[in-house]
Amino acid sequence: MQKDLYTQLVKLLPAMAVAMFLIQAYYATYLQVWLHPEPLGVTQTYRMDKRVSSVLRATAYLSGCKVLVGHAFWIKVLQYYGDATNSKDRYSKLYDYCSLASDLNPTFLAPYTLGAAALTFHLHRPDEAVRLLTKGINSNPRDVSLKLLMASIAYENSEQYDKVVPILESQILTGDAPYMMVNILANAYEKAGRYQDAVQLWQRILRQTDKDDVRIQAAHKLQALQEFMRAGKHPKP
Amino acid sequence: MKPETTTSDRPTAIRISNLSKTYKTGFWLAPKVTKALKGLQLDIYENEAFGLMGLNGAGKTTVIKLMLGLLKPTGGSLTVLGGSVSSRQIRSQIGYLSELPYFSKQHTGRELLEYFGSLHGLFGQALRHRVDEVLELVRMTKAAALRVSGYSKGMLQRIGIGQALIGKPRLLICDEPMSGLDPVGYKEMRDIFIDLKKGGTTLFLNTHILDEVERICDRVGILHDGELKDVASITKILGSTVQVDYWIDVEQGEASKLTGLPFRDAIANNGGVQIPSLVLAETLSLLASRRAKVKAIRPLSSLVEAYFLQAIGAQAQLQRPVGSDR
Amino acid sequence: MRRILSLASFTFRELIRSKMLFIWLISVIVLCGLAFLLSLLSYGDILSIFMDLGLVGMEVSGLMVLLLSLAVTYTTEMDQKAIFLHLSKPMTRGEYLLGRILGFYLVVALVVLGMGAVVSALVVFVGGGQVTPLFIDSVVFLLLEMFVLTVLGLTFQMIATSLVGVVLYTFFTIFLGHLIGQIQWLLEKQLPAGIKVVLKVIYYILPNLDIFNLKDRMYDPTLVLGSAQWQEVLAYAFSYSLLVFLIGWWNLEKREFM
Repeated sequence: MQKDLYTQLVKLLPAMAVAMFLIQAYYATYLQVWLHPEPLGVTQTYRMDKRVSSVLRATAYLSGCKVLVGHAFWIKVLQYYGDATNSKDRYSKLYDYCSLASDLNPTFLAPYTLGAAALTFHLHRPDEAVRLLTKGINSNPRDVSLKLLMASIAYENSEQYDKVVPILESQILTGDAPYMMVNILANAYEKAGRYQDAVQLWQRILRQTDKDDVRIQAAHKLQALQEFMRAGKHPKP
Repeated sequence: MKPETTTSDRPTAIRISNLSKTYKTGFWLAPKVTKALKGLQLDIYENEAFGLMGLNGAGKTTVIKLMLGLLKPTGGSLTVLGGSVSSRQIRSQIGYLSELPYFSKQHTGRELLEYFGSLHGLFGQALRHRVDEVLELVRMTKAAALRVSGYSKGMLQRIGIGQALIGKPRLLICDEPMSGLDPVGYKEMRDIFIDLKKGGTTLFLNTHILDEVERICDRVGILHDGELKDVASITKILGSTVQVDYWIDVEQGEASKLTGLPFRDAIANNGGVQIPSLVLAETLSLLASRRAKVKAIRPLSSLVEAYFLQAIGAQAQLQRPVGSDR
Repeated sequence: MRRILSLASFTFRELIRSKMLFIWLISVIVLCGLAFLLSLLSYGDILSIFMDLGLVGMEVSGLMVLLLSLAVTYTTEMDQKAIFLHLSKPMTRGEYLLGRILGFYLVVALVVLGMGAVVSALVVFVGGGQVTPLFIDSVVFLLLEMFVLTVLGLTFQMIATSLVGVVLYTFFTIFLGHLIGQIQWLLEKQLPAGIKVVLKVIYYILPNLDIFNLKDRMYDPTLVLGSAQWQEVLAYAFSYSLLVFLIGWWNLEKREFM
């Protein structure tokens, strides 16, 4: 009896395998959507050696260790930036390298923050920095530090207020924003000529803060703004 | 010679009927077909010890693998202990010892026996008791705690027979069980087989050690090129008129008395003479008439060996007396 | 069931005594060394480096144990024909394959979890951080991946006719399994129909190891991992493993041991 059962079971093995193939194929298809809800992003490189990019990507995807390869490549980026001989061409590949490191490891913040800071304050290429930070903010929408950095760079160096304002507004709406960020947004409004928005924001700061120095700063700002709006002149931020 | 295959009414342990096995090897474009067994017809009776003899490549191991279900027959049928070997119940009554058994080297002898015992459904106290019994039987109690990696060839063979016996098999199938054993190990193993036979276990031995067959087996079969050439009982072989050559030694200094013997096949050499058994009596009387002092008369081959060679059609050109190789 | 467990424990003991845990020890040393080096060289979140490195270390050590175990046991079981003794006993071939799989998996899981403990200790005591729930999820996903690969490796062991074959098949499956996601990406491109069919076949035959690769998505803000996703991933791991097991079992039933 037992032998018969086992023999019957063995005879059914191919049919069971076919059934199981179909089941796993169904789940594989279903999970593919879960894996990649959006098309894969690829760095738009313009100065980087294409081989570096291809070899790194191949290593990362073949080994299934994309993040670790990203970490390892990040060390290579640091060495590139630390090598004084690369200053001859003003570290021309820094943006590409940071971008590639972030492709492999999109939630690792250092390539965005260090890359953007170096590109802006050292190399004076704020456009590249803003591009890098935009990518970082898209990959890490809940992170505040990238937005703050983006705001300060855009505000101080590139005057790209139109890019900064929506990012800061959305973050402030979440209620999780440091005072510095609100301050930058108010100044950005002012720079962009949105004086009414700036006044409202300073008034809100004045109402909500529990710090005296902030209250004093907000009061001064409001006073200057109102005087300017009356006189039709641009106040000093 | 005509094989005596299914002539008895005794209950059979193994019934092989027209069994054939063909191996297909090689690549798709150049397939190679080897006929390992050609219509084997054989019954092994319960409680008997059967020896299957044959040259290397004769198909002996193929027969065993078919009996164990490790190979599937190309044609014919095979029944073991009244059923199919694919049945777990039938396999639980079979013990198998392969030639030079290999085990995982990381286990001790006791652990191996415990594992194989558990496959036979033994657990707990019953398992431990049976393992102790088997270790005692194969004289491995002292080495039971050592890892297999430290075992000699003989010890491995003994643990091998131990694992074959752990499930108290009704049928024990052994492939070259004496292979690689020293004389002491050989004798011990032989004694174990004789005890098992006395205990009612059916033995099936693949071997080319003819002495082993003569001392242990009740019947022998000769397999040659995948065909069963003959099956005969040992008593029949020992009582047969198979030709065996003898070697006659005379005292030192009397070698000259051996020259000129009037027999065509007599070969004098080194103070002795090799003669066919047919003329043994005549030779001895002739030597007596020449006043030669005969020191020793030894058969140059055993009867089983001669029978084997005759069955496979080989020429008996044996140069050494029996036993000189052991 | 008892026979399966007996064989599993027999295999487990065999592999542990074959010094497979040395791989764990070496991996721990390499991991600690690399973590120290990376923390010196890198600028960034050291805790995430520890965890990422640790998860990769777990995967690599698990795979090394699996591949070496397959190689070691192939020599004994297949080349030296120890399998004959197992299969001549009252144990079915299905039970044999299942017992081997369980024994192998116990060793692989032990090494992976051992590494997990070391990584957690690094994160807590050296990095001064906390082990996140997603890290634990990643470890469980890794264990699922290891299970699929163990079943695959042992099936290859039953099918392949040489040790090189076993190691190569398993090795390439691991690499290609991580590329499956990219095949889907290729399928969306303009390609000749023939190539697309081949890619599609490969896509459904090979295991999609990206599904179990949570370590690369641990900080992905878009990652959704609810009970529905868990069920799907478990269902995929189970159905794929069962498929491979059925193929291995069927092959073993048909196999002749010459």
